[in-house]
Amino acid sequence: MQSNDAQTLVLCALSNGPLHGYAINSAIEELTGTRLGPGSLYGALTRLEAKGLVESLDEVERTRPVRLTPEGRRVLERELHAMARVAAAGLRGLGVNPA
Amino acid sequence: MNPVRMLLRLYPAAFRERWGAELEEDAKAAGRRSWPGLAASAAELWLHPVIWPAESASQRRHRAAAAAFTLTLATWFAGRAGTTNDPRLTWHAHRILNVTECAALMLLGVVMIMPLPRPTPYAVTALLRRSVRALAVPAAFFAVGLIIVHAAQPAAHSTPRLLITASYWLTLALGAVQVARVVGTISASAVIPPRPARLRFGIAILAVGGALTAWISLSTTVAGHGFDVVSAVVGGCALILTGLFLSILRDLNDR
Repeated sequence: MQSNDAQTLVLCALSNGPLHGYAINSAIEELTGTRLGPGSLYGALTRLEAKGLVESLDEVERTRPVRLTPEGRRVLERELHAMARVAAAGLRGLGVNPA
Repeated sequence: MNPVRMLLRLYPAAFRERWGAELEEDAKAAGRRSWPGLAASAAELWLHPVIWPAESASQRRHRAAAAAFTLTLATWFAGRAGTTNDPRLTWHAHRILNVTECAALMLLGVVMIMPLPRPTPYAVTALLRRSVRALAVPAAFFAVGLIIVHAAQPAAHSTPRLLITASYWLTLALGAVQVARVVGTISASAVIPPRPARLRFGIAILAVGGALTAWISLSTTVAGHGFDVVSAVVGGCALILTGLFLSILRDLNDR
């Protein structure tokens, strides 16, 4: 996965707790400045659910919030650590202090 | 019907049931610029039936088996069209390994992946009833075509002969579609999906069969004098279908 990968962004958005589709996209917009297309967002959610990384909660007003599973939390943590290592190495190479 | 609703209808039913309402709301809010993405996402989902929302792991395996079976029928259809129209793809030209032998290998793969009827009278009866109902029309077309050919014996290259040939291929295609529909939509109460290891092994065999068909066809394309269009088309189709087999296998392994 990469930092702009739709699945990683969805997992990041869910790290603060359960959200429904529209709220996930708003959280991603806050994080990256752009929203995912609806096709990409729900495609990513479908894949993540199939992998067992997110799970659905009971329906609330025609929407069903989703949350990270324990496995999803582990995968996200591992990915973010890997990205942080790559980012730190790249910034060091550029002579930029990773704040 | 508004365009967003029309685009939503392109998605698999299982996806629509799970995400349809939310996707529709978001797509309406996003406006026209989301339409190409919606169409692309629907097309992509059809290529990955294993990831569709499912109630159980066995439902996902059933979908994988049905998708692999459909791809096998498509490969067989391409191979049949190729060997009928191009003698260079038959055993006369490839005595060691030919497209027909690849079909035999793929038959072994099909045996591995096929959902088996549950050993109950209800399941067997339901399966037989569905199969007879689905195949009645193609079988009737085939029988009528056979009777006409034997009774009228139309001359080669005549219009009636061309019509009969066209209806033969349409009947084959219709039969293949109907068989794929029976395998894909038969109730879980009537069949048992293959076990995970058996399913993976079967799909791997099908991928090897598809790859060998592509290799034989594409090597034929450039082996003779000049470029052979028929074998190039068959090889290209088999190559794409092999990629799709591998994609199902990857989706199964990702889980």
